[in-house]
Amino acid sequence: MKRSSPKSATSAAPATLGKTAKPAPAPSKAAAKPAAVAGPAAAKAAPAREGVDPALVRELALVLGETNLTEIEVRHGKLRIRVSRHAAAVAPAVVAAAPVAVVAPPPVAGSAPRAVEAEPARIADHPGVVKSPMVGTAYGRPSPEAKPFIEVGSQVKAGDKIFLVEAMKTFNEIVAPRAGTVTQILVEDGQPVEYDQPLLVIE
Amino acid sequence: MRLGEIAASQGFGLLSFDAVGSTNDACFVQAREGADRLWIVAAIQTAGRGRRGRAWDSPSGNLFASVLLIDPAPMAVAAQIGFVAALALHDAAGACLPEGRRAELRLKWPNDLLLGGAKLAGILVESTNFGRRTAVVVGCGLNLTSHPHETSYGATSLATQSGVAPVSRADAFAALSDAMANRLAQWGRGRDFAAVRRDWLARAAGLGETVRVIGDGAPVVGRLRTMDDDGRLIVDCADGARRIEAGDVFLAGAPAGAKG
Repeated sequence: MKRSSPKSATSAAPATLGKTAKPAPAPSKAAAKPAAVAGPAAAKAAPAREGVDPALVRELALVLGETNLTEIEVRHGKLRIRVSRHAAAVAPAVVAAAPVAVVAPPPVAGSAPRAVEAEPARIADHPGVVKSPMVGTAYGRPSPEAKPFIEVGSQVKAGDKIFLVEAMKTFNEIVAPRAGTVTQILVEDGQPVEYDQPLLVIE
Repeated sequence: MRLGEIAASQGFGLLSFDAVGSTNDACFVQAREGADRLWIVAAIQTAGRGRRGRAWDSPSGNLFASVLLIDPAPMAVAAQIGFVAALALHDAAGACLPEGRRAELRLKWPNDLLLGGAKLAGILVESTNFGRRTAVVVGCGLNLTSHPHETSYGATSLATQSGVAPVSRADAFAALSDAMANRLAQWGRGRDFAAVRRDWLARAAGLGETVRVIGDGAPVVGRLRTMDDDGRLIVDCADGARRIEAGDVFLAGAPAGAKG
């Protein structure tokens, strides 16, 4: 474990990072760690023989956020504080941005996010994107036995049913806001979705 | 068939049919015509629906009623309306029962009405958008005279209860339309979900008991703790608390392994 003076970044945990501070990978590519960390940064003090200064930890967490580093470690005498960020917990919405077929089987609860092939920021900003108006479960078909509402390549007109989002047994139709061709479907049948999560792209 | 006095005074309308495919679908047709705060009641439904396309058995004698509401609340909280409707059905069914039997009426998350542990009524809430307007339809099926026998969850009807006087569709509907008007007012377009949650919890089935929740993933088994401020169920499992947003809840003693 390498150490350094306060505020300088080191490569404390993932030993492969090397000595130089390295920017955190984009969340979409760093989804390997389990989402066990609630906030954007988690602070751990070890070994906690002396009193930990919460203000210092908070400051380090802020520095971590500002610099986009994954990890910062500081040492004061016997006290060592390491602040690290688990990218997978930062932006849950983006893990669903992979263009996958709507007919794929639903993901197992708690399974690791799958690889993301597209730039999430670009998809969210895409003029043809349709987003979920609520937190819930997205369905691409009216019933489990039925055909999907749409597939990639489907022609839709404004007002066509394209998805259902279920929130506590309230079934909300998502309708096409405009006519066009479905070029990407971004969530699977039965997948949990967040508010404003991109569902599909119509061009 | 007529509206209750409270519903009528609050501007609700009513269309009554001998038969429709589904009262929910009929409401959406009316929504396209510009209707709002409209009840549709049918003596029979030829294509009654439940969750995820499941059929809702709709024989003559039972109450099938749906209410159309345009923009009843911001979309982010619109799903709370299922709890509002569940309370209204509980109120209406309670009015049809002798006072001593009302405590047997319980609510199963999120919006099933149980009598003595068996399903007496169900709700299907659906919404869609017309331009900038959101049409929300709350469909209620209340078993007055008969109930299906081949369900994975036990079903019942008022007529099979001993000591309960026969209830007409008209009386049940009048009670439901008033109860819905009152509960919608209590909810205040989502401003007072806390009051709805409190009343829902006071009527909830299985609190503190072991439940099994079957969704699209692995079943969740644990002790039913409560419903949170967003309407999600909190179940304490061996490996910690789980928040449930979707799935079918099976209470202890109820048949498990199938979807309800």
